[in-house]
Amino acid sequence: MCKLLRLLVMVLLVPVLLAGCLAPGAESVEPRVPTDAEVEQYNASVAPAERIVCRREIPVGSNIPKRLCRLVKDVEETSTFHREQLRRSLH
Amino acid sequence: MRIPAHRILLLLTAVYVACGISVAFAQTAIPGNSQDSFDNFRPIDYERLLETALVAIESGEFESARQSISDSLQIIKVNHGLLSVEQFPALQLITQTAIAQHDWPALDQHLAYFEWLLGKLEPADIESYLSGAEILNNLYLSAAADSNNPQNAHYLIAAKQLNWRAVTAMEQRFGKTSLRLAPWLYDIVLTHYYQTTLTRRKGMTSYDYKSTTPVIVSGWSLSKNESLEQSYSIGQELLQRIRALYADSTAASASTDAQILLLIADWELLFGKGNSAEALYRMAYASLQQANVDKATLLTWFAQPLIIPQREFIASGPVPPQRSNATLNLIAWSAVFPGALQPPGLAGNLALPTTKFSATARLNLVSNNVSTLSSNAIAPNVFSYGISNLSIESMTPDNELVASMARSQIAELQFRPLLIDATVIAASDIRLHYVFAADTDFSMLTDAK
Repeated sequence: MCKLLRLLVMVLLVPVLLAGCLAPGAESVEPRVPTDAEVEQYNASVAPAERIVCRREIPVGSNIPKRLCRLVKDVEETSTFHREQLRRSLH
Repeated sequence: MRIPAHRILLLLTAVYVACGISVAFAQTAIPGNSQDSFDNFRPIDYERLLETALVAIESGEFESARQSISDSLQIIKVNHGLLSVEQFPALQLITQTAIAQHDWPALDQHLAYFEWLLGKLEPADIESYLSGAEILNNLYLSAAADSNNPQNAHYLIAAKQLNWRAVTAMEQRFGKTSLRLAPWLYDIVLTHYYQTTLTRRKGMTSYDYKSTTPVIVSGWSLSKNESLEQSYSIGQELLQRIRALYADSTAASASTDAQILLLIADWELLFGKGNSAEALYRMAYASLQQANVDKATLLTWFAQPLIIPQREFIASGPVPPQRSNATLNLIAWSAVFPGALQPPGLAGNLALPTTKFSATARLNLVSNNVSTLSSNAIAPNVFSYGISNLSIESMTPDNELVASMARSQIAELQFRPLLIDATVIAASDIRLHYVFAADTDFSMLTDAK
């Protein structure tokens, strides 16, 4: 009887615990990443800095590659920022 | 009302200066023009000037041709307006002249002007914009295919981006389900195929692939495999979109769907995905059988050797055969794009440059001949279809180097599998007459002489 009760508690508790692992707001649908063709069509009509580049990357803490898209402008700004940080730390 | 004398004097001076400028402009608008037979403001037959230019180009007198075309452009602008579509043939010819002369700065200038003109036309006159975009696209492809051009990739990508802009303009004007989109989408697919032939020769794709301007995208160059995978996925997506466009339209039919399925199957085979290609070929065959297409028509569809990718989008019926007198006649496009045939309508009114170098070969087509397919098809259990027992019967001129080059170039060609009763069959003893691309480097042969 005790075992049965313990099993029942486990069955009820596990989904509750798993639900707690979800990040807040996870029930909202993730924005759809544009397809390669959509990105190419968009890029054809905008200035070079406004273009998007997409590629598959393996994020930190995971082995599952994820398709990430970024604005060329942001990529450039991040690269400049990192170069600047490196220069500061070296001097 | 009394007008002060100094104001009248000022007005007269302004009129005098304006007249002087317009006369000076009329005299200097055509630099180096020594002809007295016309002036810019007389609507003379500019087409006659273009015909003169055409003759001059064909006899190799490029400078004289450029002068005639510049004259005709000026006349068109004055008489038909700065944004007139009558400029298209003249712009096409002057750009082709720049390519023939390997004058890359002039080429860029003409292409930029054409782009500007199309940008002005697009919002007001979509039909003129599309006809101009078609011409400009062919000019970009011609520039990309010139082996002397140091920026092949740049022009190829510019052609693709122009196609995309045309697609966007058509979507806005005719809707996203318009059947008019299909040939434009297929042209983008073809450009991706040409791009893969460039990509296979490079370790990393340079920034040329991502921009029409020399902007370096730091840290975001794609590897060869990533770039090939991207081209494959875009091609596949667009072909599926074309299929959906037709399926949802009044033009939907079993033969149209089968035709598009064949294009999708070709795309799979080109990227070494033989098993899915074979399944799609069978599916296309089966769908035609179910639609009660008679056996003779099925033979026309599936029993003739055909080079892939198909050079243009034909939605209905089988592709016209490339063979005559039991010989398959092929003209290679360019040394830049090995294995690709000349796209139709590329040269416009201009006669294509020809070469006297050619070879006649005999070959068999067999399935699972892994060595002749793309580098992706390395697994032995993957379906593949390619050339075997290739032998050169004759060549012009009769030289072993020509035979050797013919062997290596013919081996680059990819064929659509032949099917009978939905089963892939081998084909034997196919005779093929192969004309080399005009820019094929035979200098070693000339040096040896």
